[in-house]
Amino acid sequence: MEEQSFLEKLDQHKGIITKVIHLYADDAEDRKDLRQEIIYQSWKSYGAFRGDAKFSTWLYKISLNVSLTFISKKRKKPGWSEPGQELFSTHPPELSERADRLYRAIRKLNDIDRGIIILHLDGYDNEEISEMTGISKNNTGVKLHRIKQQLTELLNQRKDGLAK
Amino acid sequence: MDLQNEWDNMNEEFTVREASSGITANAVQQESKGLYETLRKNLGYKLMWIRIISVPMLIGAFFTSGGLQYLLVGEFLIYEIGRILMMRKLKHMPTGLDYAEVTKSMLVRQLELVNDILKAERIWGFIFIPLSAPIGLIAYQLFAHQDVSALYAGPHALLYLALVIGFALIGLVMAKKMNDIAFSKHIKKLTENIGQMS
Repeated sequence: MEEQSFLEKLDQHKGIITKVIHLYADDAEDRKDLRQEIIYQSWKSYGAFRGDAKFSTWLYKISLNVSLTFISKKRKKPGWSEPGQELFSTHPPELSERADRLYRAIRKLNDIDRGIIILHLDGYDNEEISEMTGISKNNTGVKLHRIKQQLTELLNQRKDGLAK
Repeated sequence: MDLQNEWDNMNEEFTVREASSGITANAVQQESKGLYETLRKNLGYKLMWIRIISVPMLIGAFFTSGGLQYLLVGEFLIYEIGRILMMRKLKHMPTGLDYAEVTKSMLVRQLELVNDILKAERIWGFIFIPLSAPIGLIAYQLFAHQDVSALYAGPHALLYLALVIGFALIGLVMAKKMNDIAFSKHIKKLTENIGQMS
């Protein structure tokens, strides 16, 4: 019964996991592993989910935390290297040129900033972002302003680059 | 540039790309989990039935003596050894699975165990189902007359032989039918699902 309810909710909010894994994992194999890990950790914690927060908020929090742990573990592995300027020698998802531009720009942000902008663009206010990330509300506002500027610059740079 | 607009557009592309593969994978995983648990449960019932058949033999042995007692104890031991060997494999199969545990390699491993148990049971069945009628007849003769010579030297020897062969054939056919109902279609479907999983 509990499992059925978990699966139904997970199915309704699977878009959250999809977004997060695409923006934190480098290639299809990693995306698969990360998805599996997020589902596993969510299922493990589901017993403690009391419904005080919305399921989507709870799932976002878990997805981001698991993703941050996942990439931090991956970076500790020998042979890992930071993706270069041209972004990923690995396999980004197949997207249209327009979507690919934003994808690559967001992937250039640092891990925490990436989480903040994802939450903001998905409609969470500063207070909720602050709760989910552990950053103070004021600091979240300041960070968000800076991230948006950075993102716009990156997008414009890339647009100019393509125009040339 | 409208960031929100670009974000919505990118998410739409992610969703479309993921829709078919993601949903299929989940459905296949969920169905496989159910199939595995049914197989595990049916194997458990099978082993429980072996015990239900064997225990009365042991109880019977306490109230008899001589050849019949040895025969009943022997039968009980044969059933128990078969059951213990199969149970040892069954213990490696978890009764329930977490949703996230349903991976291809895990299912392949568990399906191999199911097939191993059923293979052992089939071999065991081919030997002991045909023997059950002769053993039953011997037990009856020992119980009623304390002598088994009537089975091969009496006027009904041919009838006994026909009964023994007929019972063995019916027993083998019934055992196969029961296994087909309890396991075959689930194994077939699970094998198909494993083939579909990446």
